[in-house]
Amino acid sequence: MGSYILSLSPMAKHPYRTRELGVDIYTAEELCYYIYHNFVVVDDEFISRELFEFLEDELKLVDHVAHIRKYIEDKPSMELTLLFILREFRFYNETELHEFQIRYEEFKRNGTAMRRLLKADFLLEHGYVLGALNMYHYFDYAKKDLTLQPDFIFKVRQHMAVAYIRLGLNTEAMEAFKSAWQEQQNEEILKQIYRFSLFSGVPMPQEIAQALDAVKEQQWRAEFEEAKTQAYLLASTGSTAAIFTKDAVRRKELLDEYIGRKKKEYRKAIL
Amino acid sequence: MDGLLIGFDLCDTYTQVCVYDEETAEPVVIPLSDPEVAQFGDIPTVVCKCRRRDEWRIGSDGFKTALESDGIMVDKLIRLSRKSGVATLEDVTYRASELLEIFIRKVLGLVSEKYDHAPIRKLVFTLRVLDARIIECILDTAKKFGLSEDQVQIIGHAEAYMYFLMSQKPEVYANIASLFELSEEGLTYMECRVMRGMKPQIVRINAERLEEGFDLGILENAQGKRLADNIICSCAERLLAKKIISSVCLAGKGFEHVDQWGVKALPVICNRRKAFYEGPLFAKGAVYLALDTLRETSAYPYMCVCDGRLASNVSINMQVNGLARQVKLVSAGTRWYQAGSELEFYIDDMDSVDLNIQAIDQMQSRTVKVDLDNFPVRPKRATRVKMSLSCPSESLLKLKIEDMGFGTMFPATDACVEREIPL
Repeated sequence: MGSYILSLSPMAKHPYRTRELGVDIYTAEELCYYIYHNFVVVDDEFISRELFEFLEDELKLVDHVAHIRKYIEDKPSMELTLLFILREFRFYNETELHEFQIRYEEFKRNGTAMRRLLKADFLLEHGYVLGALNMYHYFDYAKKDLTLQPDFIFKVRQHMAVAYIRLGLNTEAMEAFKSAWQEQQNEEILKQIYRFSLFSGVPMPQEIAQALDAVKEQQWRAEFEEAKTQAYLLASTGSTAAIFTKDAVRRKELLDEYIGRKKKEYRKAIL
Repeated sequence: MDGLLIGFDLCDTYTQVCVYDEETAEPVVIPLSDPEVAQFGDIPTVVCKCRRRDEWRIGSDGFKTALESDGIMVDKLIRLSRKSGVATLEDVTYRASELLEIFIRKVLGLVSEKYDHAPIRKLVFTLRVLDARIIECILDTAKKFGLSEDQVQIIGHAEAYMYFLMSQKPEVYANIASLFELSEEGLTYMECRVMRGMKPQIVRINAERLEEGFDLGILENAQGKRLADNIICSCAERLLAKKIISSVCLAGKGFEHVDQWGVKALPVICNRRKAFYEGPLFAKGAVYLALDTLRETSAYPYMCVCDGRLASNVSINMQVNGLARQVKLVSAGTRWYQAGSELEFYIDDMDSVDLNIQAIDQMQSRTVKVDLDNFPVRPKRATRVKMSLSCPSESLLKLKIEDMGFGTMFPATDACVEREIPL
């Protein structure tokens, strides 16, 4: 395989927005990249009329779409359909497609609940916090039906707390931590709760505070203070501080860029 | 035939125009100047602005007007245009390209008049040196004259020679065909070889401007004629020796009366080979090309490698529909000012773009690496780039690579690399 890949078509004027992550797709290659890296969130609704219209009308890939349409007539599994699409546009080579298949099969081997959790974690990792929270809350209702194990629920609550922290909802985050603690009590979660409490100022629930001994508290506090100092130093010497060393014109440009980036991150977080 | 097929040889000192004659199926010279002064239809490339009125004259008329002090003349229009020069006539400053435009329009007007305003079907210009500014000026003028871009073509003298030569009987170019051109602009030697056994056959024309060129004024006296004879003789001995030459063509105003002074030179030139004189050779060659463009299949199935045409292929190895392919970006034999391409592709795991450049007569190609220094670091294959290529001259490739990003996942930046690569 060569090191450059000729594009199949010019970029679309009107992109296709994916339902799962809200990503705008402009080319068939971007579609392949999206499938290859985000298959965890891609579900049956992904193969839609809109997607085919986009490929046919915007990218003029009529023959390719005809092949895909013909293939899905026999209603193959999602895994095979995605694989067929990837193979049709040839953005990835056979080795990479094989790797994709292995990853997909690994993902598929998990139970329904675990797949949901992985999907929620994926969304959280990629900044789609509200989407992730919705999925974590799904387990509140499905808990009985799915007969979930305590360690699984523990993970859900712990990750939910992280999602709340990302949204700045500290009280809700502490509540989620508390639920996690109730499911499973270990040093790792205790430390996490303690540090979060120090960071946010939200007091630890009484029952958790009682589990913390003085020696550990002293050690973890020292670690927290050290991390805080490091973070402060990093921030003050980082890119933000560097902006103020520039001249007035450049400084304005960089600040606008920085604010724009932050706005974008915010939008992504609340999407 | 519906419309005129015109060959327009535009030089710094003279211009020659030929038109395709259907009856004889040959290009014919249009004598637009005083036939006594210019036997081969030479029109001096000058413009003259008449004093105190907005009237322009060209060629010998222009000379005459200036001699009578009724106008102000500007000559060397090509040289002036190449330097983006200006001329001030009666307190008005004209750009050289404007003056050249006046000249071309006037000449085309005269041709049109001569043929009862018959429309122009195809117009082929031939220039001694293909210069971007002159090409732009010619195309602009032709457009103003109501000609579309595909009705106009511009070629170099070497290429016009090729079209002329390939329109002759095959024995004329069976082996090497040579050309000596002597004009007020100097002495030029061209050598044409057909490289058979290749597909398509390659016609290579090497042109050389000889330092021995002299002022045509010396041909006006016996002593000068003797000197000219000696010069041409020694050039012919040097350039034609130890070569199998099928024909020698003499062209240009300087050789018009070579039979009267070339006592020593002609026997050397005509030694066991065909030799002939062709005054408006380049204009005729241009007409042959004009005629050829009307054919469905070209009568000249050759790849021409000469001044004005690229001598190298430029390509890039890439994956096309999953298969490893060599994608040609610029083809040898293309006129440099028409060469260019634009390509959009994805970069896999490289931080450079590697181009293959292969000279037409060499087996090995060389690789030119263009580093994408200021491009953002992204995951594998998440960078789409637009590569634009053009040739500012026959020996130079201009390359521009722009970052197109990867949709909204990795937005485009203003990262861009521009390089000039000698071919």
